[in-house]
Amino acid sequence: MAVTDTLKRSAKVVRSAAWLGWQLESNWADPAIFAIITIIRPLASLLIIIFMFRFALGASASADLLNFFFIGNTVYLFVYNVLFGISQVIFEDREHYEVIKYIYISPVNWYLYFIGRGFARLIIAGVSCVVSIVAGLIFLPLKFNMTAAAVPVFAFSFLLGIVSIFFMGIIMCALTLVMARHGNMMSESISGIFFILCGIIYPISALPVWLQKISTAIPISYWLEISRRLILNTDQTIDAAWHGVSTADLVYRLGFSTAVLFAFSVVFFYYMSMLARAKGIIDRTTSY
Amino acid sequence: MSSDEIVKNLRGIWARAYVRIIGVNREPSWLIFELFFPLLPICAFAFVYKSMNAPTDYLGFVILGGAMTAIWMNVLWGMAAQFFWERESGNLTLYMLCPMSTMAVLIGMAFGSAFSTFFRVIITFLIGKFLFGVTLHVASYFWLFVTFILTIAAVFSLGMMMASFFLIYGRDAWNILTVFMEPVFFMSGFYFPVKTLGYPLGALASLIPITLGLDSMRQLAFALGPETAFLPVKTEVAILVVLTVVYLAGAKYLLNKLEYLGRREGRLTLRWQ
Repeated sequence: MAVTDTLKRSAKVVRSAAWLGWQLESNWADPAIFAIITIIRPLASLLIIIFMFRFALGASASADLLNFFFIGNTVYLFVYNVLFGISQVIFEDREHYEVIKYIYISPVNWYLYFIGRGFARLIIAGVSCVVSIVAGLIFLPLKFNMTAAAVPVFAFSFLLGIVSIFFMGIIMCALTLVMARHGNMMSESISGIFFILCGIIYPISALPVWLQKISTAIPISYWLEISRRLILNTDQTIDAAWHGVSTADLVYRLGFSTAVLFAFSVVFFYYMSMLARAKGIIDRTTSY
Repeated sequence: MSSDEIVKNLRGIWARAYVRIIGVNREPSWLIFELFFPLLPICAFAFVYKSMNAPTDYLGFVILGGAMTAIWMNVLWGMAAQFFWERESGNLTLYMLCPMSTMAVLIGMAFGSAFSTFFRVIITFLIGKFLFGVTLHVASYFWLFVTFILTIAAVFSLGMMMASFFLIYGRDAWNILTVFMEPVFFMSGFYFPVKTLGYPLGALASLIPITLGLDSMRQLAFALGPETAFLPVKTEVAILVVLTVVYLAGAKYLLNKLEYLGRREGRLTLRWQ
């Protein structure tokens, strides 16, 4: 009974935080303007790469290369939005609305509250993903060859990927608790690190060998490679860094690393929130 | 403007810049986030060209575009949107009470963050040279310098125009400002020559001064630059002069107009919009 009550209460916290997050993200404009603003950034990001390919390779860009970058860029929309969204909550609540102290003293689980706030960004990422796919179908020779048998594996790995970036978001959120407002650059920066290392728009094998070792230990890299293989229905993509590693092995690695991230995010978040409280900076504002 | 007013405004510029300079000293971690981490996406775009075995000059195009992102981000978030934060923290009202122009405050912000911005530009070029082997083949240092200064002047004037909207608008202007990130990186050809977009779209993108500034600097700094030229350098310089004058006049008009509107509608002190 107690467990059921706890689960119900936790679900309520996540749901309420998600609703609050959605209101904050969307209620500043009418839906049409909000929709335009939401889709214009991912569309522009996609077009940057398309025109880079067009400039450097002209018509000789291979379909494999274009598919490779397109899937990476689309999955990265979730990475960027959720990572940025969760860590940005601290700045919004602490520096903009100055309500963080009230949330801190309210009887809600802080960890779950931040998870809930991330859901609004997940929805935005989902919309951007759809727009990106439509644009990709128009501008690129895309091929979706996923078999019916691969759908459950794809859905499972996709879920693991999403969950893992929520945990990474919480880790960044914890770091942000002890940082001044310029820390909002951190989430952009960490996303930038993943952009470089995880083979989003080029194969990991294009990186120097010592960087490849780091790249192949990041959960997002597993998630991307699994997605590419399943969507393109192939045992290996153009990324030589993963040749010799089976898809099942990649799913196992993704699952294991997600579990490790969960454990670390819980411990780290509570440690940093205690540290912020001990330093008296939970509701600090900065205005350089 | 009398000499007394000029001195007051110069002191105002220094006063606003001083806070930022001291702020950076008090939070050294700011330098790490402002300088090094934003370089990562630039490296990623350079790796895209590298993975295609493109000529080194193409990597140089990315490095130059990446260096200019530092300036553009400074204009967007360190200058235009800063009025949003100033109003939230209550400083905007104090600026209005001071016997100086609002433009002096904005120029002060720009000077205050110039140190970290230009340091980032230098580091971007060093990364280009040592990590990606990019070499500059400068055709004319004089014209390169003129183009760079004019681009900065035009971009900062545009930034002042954008800042004026934060005198009456709040979160809506903040969100709309995000449209000036990736879409501008795309339209202005930060990572590929703007000529690739075609002339009609390139002409439209030329309203953003950084488009022509980047195109000129690429022509002047890289061996392959002239092959990718959108317009001749001297034409682009002339357009940049016009844009600087127009945006500066526009900034002065809009700052006065929107400050008046803000006062009349009581929005200068309105928080949490």
